[in-house]
Amino acid sequence: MRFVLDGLTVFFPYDYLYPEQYEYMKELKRALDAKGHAALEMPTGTGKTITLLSLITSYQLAHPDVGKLIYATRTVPEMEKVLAELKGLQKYREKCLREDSAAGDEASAVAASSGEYERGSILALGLSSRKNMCIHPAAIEGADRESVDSMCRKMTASWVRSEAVDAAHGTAAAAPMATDDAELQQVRDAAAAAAPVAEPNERAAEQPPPVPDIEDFNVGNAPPGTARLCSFYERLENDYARPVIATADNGSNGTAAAGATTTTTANDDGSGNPTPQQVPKLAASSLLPPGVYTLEDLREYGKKKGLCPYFLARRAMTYANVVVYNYQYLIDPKVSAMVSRELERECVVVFDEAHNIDNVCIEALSVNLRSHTLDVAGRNLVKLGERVEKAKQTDASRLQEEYSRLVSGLVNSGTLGGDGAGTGAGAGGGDGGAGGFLAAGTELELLQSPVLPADVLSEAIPGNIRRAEHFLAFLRRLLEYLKTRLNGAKTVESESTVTFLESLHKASGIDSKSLRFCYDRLSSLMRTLEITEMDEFYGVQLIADLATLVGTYKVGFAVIIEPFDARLPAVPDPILQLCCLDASLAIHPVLERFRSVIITSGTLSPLDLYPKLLRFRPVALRALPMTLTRECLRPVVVTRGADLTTLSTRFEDRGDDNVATNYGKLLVALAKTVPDGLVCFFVSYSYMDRIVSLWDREGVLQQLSQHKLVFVETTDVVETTLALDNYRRACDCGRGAVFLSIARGKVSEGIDFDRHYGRCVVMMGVPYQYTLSRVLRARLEYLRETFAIREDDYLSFDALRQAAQCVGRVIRSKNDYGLMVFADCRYNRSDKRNKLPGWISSQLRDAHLNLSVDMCSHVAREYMKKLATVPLDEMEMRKHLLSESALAQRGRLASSSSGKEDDGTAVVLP
Amino acid sequence: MMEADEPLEHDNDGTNGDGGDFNDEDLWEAQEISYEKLYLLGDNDNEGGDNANENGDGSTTFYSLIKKKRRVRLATSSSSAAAAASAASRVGGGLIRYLVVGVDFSAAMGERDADYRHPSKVGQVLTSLERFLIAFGDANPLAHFGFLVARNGLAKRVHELSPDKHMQCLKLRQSLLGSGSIDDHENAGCYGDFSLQNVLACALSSLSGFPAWGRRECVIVAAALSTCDPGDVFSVVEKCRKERVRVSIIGLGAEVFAFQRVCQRTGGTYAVARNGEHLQELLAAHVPPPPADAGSAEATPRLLNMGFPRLTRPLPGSAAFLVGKAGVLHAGEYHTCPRCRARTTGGALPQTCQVCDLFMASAAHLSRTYHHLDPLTPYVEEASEGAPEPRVSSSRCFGCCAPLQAKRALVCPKCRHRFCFDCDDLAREALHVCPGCL
Repeated sequence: MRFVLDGLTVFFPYDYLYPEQYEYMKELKRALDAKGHAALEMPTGTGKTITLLSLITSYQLAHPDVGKLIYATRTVPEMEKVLAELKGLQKYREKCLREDSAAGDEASAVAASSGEYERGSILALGLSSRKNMCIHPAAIEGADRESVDSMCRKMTASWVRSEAVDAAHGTAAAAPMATDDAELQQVRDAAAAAAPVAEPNERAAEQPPPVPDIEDFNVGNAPPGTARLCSFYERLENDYARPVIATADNGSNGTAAAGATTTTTANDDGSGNPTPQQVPKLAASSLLPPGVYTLEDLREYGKKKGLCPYFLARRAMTYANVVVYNYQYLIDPKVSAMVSRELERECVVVFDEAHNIDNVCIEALSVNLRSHTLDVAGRNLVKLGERVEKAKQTDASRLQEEYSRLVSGLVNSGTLGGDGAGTGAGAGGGDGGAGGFLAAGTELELLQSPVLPADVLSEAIPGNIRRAEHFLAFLRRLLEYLKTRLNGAKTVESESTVTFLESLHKASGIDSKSLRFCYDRLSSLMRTLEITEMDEFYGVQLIADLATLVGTYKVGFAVIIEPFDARLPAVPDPILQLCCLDASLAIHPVLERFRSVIITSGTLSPLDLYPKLLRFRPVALRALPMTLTRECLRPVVVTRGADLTTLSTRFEDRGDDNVATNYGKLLVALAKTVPDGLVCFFVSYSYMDRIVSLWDREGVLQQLSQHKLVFVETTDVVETTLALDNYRRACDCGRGAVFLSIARGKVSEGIDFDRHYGRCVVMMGVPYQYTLSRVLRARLEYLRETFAIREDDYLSFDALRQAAQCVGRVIRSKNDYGLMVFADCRYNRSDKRNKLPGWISSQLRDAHLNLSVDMCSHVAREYMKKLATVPLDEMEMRKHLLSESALAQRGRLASSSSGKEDDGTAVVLP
Repeated sequence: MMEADEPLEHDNDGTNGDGGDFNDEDLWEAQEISYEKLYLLGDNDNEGGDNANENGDGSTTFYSLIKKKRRVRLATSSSSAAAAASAASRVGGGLIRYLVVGVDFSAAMGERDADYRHPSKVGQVLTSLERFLIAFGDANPLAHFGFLVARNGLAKRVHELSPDKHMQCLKLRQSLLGSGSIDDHENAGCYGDFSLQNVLACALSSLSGFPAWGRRECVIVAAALSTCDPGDVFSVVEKCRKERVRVSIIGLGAEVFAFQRVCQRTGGTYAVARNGEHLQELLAAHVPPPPADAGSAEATPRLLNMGFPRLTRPLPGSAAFLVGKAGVLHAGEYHTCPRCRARTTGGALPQTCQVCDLFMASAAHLSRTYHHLDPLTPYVEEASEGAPEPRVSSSRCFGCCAPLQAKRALVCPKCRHRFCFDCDDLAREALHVCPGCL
């Protein structure tokens, strides 16, 4: 359906619209009009994604000055879901516009309408790590992200490629015979020695055709170990010109597509010596014809055309209309500087499922060091030293050149070429940003640092670390200092970055300015030494990250050294944490740079806290309710056991077996009355372990397994996946199952228990963070001092948003229904309840507060029966939905009431 | 082609004990009517405003929902195209039906539930089932039916399928109570798990012996919320689908996904009863034969050899040689096959001749089921859109001459006379013919 919203024609692929979607669109439009940011909450299952996509793409169509839509998701499946929705939307939109242009032809308005049609086509694509996108048969076999990345780098790094070229020309005769990595290394060194490095840009221009070899190393006939170049990447590199940075007009794409196809096929046929020199480089915009490409589509397209999907996506990004990728690509400064650098200012950024965005931001800027990491760093330094020595003997000019470049301060001006081969910081990204750091180090066009662009000084690298050997000595000193600090700590030490710097200066004479450039200097060095296996050097990279962050930020960070884990005081496990305390640091450049940033999720309550935490002023800030045709969620609060024991996971009550037994009784009672799937969230692994072993002793588990099969989430991902799989099967075949899981675990964040997979969810206890954690303490203190947020408020806000996330897992659409049991006496207090999202707390009736276990079981039985007997009434549903005519009426009402707000930018369609 | 080579000379056409079931029927009807009043009551409450019955949270009251459902059912069948389609699909809409009713006697059935009158669900479920079976037998005299019970993870046939409703009801009661001896405690009461797979397998074996042109149905009343199966339940479901057994399930607790899927696969219906009364409603929906899918083998009419046997009561003291199971001499009434003259034990018709395999029925049965083939066109509410213009705008019901309430009249689309709701029920439930069209 198509309707006019405040003068904007919105294309919406479905026939009906929920009222809350309409409101949501209005808020969005307000934010876009004002070029401001927005934080919007709308419950899951109300079609948030399609609403966002539909409004923003329509806005793009009407306002060509608006740039891309950048849609950031947390996981790859979410990304695929977004792209699938977009596909439907695009199909509908094209149909509409085609009809219009046909109508336009008759009305002799050909030019206008066909132009519109041109503009109407969307290029949308997803971008993920190489692991998810690679099609090279050898590289894809890599077990994890790092190995795929590193494999890819081995085949696509600029020096490897130039070497292959040289080898083809016989300058390094031994090169093609290399069979394993070590040999390859030697060969490379030899080749590097033989051929002095040319300036990459020139090289790209005068590059001789790397031809016959590429055929040899092609997919089929090269065993994995010897695959030296990636044919997919080569084709991309040789056949297509680099894209120019996209300008505001997104409409010019797709013009040369036909030509591109023919030339490429011609190239394919020439099995002998297809020389790229004969083939003129194709326009960048012909890489991908308009359309919506999921990761799978990109892989397919890449296979068909023989192009590398990863780099294809990276390049096509510059002129795509919609880009869908992971949070990390925007928030992690190292990754974003590389991937998202070329995005124009006018882009609209959407963070979906953004309820945890502050934690993501903080993780992106935090570094954890353990003694193991330091050992690795030590070994890395030794290796680097060897490399430097070797380089000195074989190719001193290279080091010299680097030195002189650093002297002249060219480090920031991007003379070092390469091809922008980039990062693999893809899905997940929860490992303290380490993934991003590792991948970010290669082949940058610009040197990237983990600090933010605004904080990068335009100074040259200080003199004491310019020489490679000096720099290594500097790092060694730093490492020694960290080692003494880490191993010397007897009690928990917590200090600010300033004090840390001071003591560092006193101990080893290192000043903050040199620290600040550590990361840049290291990247520069590694590139000069032509190191591709970045993953091996993660130790030293982490140190450099730490150094740069410590050197840059005076506030917002804390250094915490813990000699042991507070939960296991007997085991010495020293850890040095540089923790970011201020979430706004990482997101600030994003908010500054882009025209509109939309933060949205199903659970963003309390809404006013997010702008505070992230330090931005939203234009639109709203929590939208959910129109319900039946009571499809019922939250209840259980506070007492059958014997009137107060149910709680308070610290004082944790050891109480009576409480645990009563929790068991609650679960058994629910297992008896709830059909199919039942999910139960605990506050921590240790508590679950304790309670489950107690249940086992007391026979609760046996009772439970009479009604349902029991599955448990463990820390092992594979085990958990298997358990989930079997849980689903048990739900499918009617046996019924219970899944015992952890709030804040992987399951609570990413897995949906929709429909019969989760008819009921039990939240046992309030999932507070571990409040004795030093990091949390430091952060709370910072929040209190800087933002005037009370500790209690923040803690319960954080706990409640976790709880809301957990219980929200069961309801993913309006056709779904689920019972939500909050089993803790603390949920009965109004200060906790008020922090729940509105769509849950509004359903929480007084009659369902303060229940005992038997009352809960009665409520559950009655609810399940009611929802089973009240079928989803289509007619009733229709009443709430807005059809095209209803919307038109609304639009008229709005325009008549608000007078002449119409700014004349609206596109009036025939 | 029907073979009627014997005149109809017997009054009691095989259904022994008409008097008995008359009472039951009466009761059933009375119940129906009282509910009808309740719906209307609910409707009157509703008069004030559209949302008057919504108690704040978007849910609607039970009665208004039932009423709405009736109205929806009426609405779907009253539109002319649908009416034609449903009339067409009911051709061959199973005059001859084979029904297995599976009863869940697992532990879940034995539990207390506030929504059921008896101490546990099982009492009221049993009563409802008996009522249902009697209504079913009356509406479908050509049908065979039987019970099977599921307890302790197993399923057991109570008795062979037969057209004798009273005997079946008795056997069901017995299967709940058991023989009463201490040794027989395994076959009494409600305990253990429920296994849908075993129930279906058992139903399949009961039904597969019957001719393929009959309608095979299985209705399961399940209180359990899970099924504890020895293997994959859906493999049996596939068999059911191949054998064209239509499985319908009525749940008593909550919606179970697997049950729903089983019903979907086999073309049956799945519903959950809210309480005892609702259970009866849901069971009653299985009384009229389900419409066949258009285009399926069942939808195409076919000819069937059928004989009308003569019931003979021998003189007291005499004996006759009968073709029975054991082929023994037997004193008592017997049917004579009109084709091969073999004598079969008296008892309920329909039967199959043991010698020549002729389907033997009584003509009265046939006439009583005839209306299934040509169902009454549903009346249309006068207030609704597209209602036909009444022939006479009298203010009284054409059937009973009762004064009609405003907006509460129904119109027969064929004869265009106006009727009240009570006459509508009478015409549909009992007369099966419109008084106006006559």
